[in-house]
Amino acid sequence: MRYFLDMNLPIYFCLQIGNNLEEKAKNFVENKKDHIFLLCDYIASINLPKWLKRQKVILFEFNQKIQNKDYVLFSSEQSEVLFSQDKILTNRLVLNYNDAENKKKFVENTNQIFNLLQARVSYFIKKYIDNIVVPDSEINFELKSCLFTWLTPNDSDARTIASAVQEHNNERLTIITSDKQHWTKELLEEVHNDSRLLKKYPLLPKIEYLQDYRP
Amino acid sequence: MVTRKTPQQIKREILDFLFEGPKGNNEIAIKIGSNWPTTNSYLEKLKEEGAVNEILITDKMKVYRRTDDPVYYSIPFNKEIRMKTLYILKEIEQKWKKERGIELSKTALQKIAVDVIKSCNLNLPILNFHYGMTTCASFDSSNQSILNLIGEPKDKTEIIDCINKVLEDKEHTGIAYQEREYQYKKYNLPFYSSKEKLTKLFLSKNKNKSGNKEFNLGIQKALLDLSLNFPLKLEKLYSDFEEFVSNAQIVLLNPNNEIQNLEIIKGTLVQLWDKLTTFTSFNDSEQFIDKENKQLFEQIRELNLNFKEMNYKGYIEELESVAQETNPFEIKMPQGSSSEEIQKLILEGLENE
Repeated sequence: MRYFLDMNLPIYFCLQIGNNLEEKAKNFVENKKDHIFLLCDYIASINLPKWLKRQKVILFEFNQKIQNKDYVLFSSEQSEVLFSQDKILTNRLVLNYNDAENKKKFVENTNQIFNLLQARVSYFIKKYIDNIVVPDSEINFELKSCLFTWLTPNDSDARTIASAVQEHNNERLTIITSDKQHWTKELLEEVHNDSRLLKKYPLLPKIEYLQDYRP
Repeated sequence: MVTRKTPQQIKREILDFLFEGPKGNNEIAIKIGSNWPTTNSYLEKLKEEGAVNEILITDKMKVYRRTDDPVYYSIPFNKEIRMKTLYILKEIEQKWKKERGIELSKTALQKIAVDVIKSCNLNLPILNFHYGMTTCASFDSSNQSILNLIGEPKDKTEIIDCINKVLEDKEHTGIAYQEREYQYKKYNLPFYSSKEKLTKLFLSKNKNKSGNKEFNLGIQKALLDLSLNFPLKLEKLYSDFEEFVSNAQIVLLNPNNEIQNLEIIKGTLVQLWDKLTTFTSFNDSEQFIDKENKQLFEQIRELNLNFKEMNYKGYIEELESVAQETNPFEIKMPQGSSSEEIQKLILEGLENE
């Protein structure tokens, strides 16, 4: 089977917390066998590198703050790329550091986790992704806009799902995601409410949820 | 009666002029009162003798410098800055030798001179060079040709007073590594201190009796220390720095890390450091450049930064390929509750995308 992976799956796979989704992601990947794993170009070349870049900036901000109490978080030029949730994460990291009994260990762990995560994600793509599909420049604008209407303001999801629909029309695939809230069958069916899109993309991919995965 | 200058005199005149900084062939021609072809033939002869070389070549002009130009990177500081800096260096060296009967190391000379410039509030450039703060020039007491050109500045008396005061400081031992450590402590330069520790650690490898694992751990900690002390003013180069640290950490975390990989890490660090400190040295110099030399300054800066970038690129690519040979899934994430907390926070951030 051809599986089209959401961006979260590789990251769940790369972490080591022991939660349910991480276990499911590990099971899913370890049972790859003859299945083909696809990642869209938008995730591989744009969204994931941007996310990783933001993680580097989060680490930079964290390191600056813990080394110098007077440092005003997010005053660096590069912190302009951070989203509000990244700033929340940075603040919480600093708070946790302040509460940590072994501060030195906390800093060591934080740096090691952020570095290892970057390396693991890159390795995951190299080792497990068989094909990068749908060049970002070839994402159908109408299809993406249609999906974006229902996903506003999440342009990333709109581009990713549009890529999946387009690729499905080349060769059948199944989407695998953990986002039960937004990546729904009903959302995909909106594509067929537009007659032109229905004509162009008569078939819609199936969605499977990581939470429900059984090896 | 007009006396013609001898070729020797003309060549001397060119060299003296270039002591004021790198100059274009047009400027040199005007200075010696000759036309271009004549000037060029003298410059060619000086080049053959190894006395000058071209620092920049464009379609329209060539910029020359003395090969023994004492100013770092031949940055086009004006004559007064060059002269005064060299005067301070010369006086310190002579005084040290006279009072203590021994030569002063080049590092120690720079560190003492920085103290003189700072304590006397002399308006002279101080560069964040690869071994900490230095003046803009190096001093070689065996170069008589340069020594002859160093004149006395107007504020000579104040400078001499200042040198005397600085030399009273017993922390100035004249020993290179002690002088570096003293400067890093005195002027709060933790990034340099961390780099010093890391370098020492690499140098200790041959003497090290403990196993590879312990040594790797020491390097990892020293790299982390360097990351924590990364200065905000170098932010533009943070991605290079981060690229180095993250790749080096992956290589070091690999339980099968081989000894030759340490050499690659060490080599990459040297090139990265060179790149970072070239960047800071030019930044520190910028405010001291006269308006008419700004363009030349930018050209020299670009040339040097490109060169350092090229050197660094070769090393970092090698380090990256070594890191990519490592399976990061064979390296365990740190254990314990704080590790879990950190990963959970990352995950929450991701889920809120």
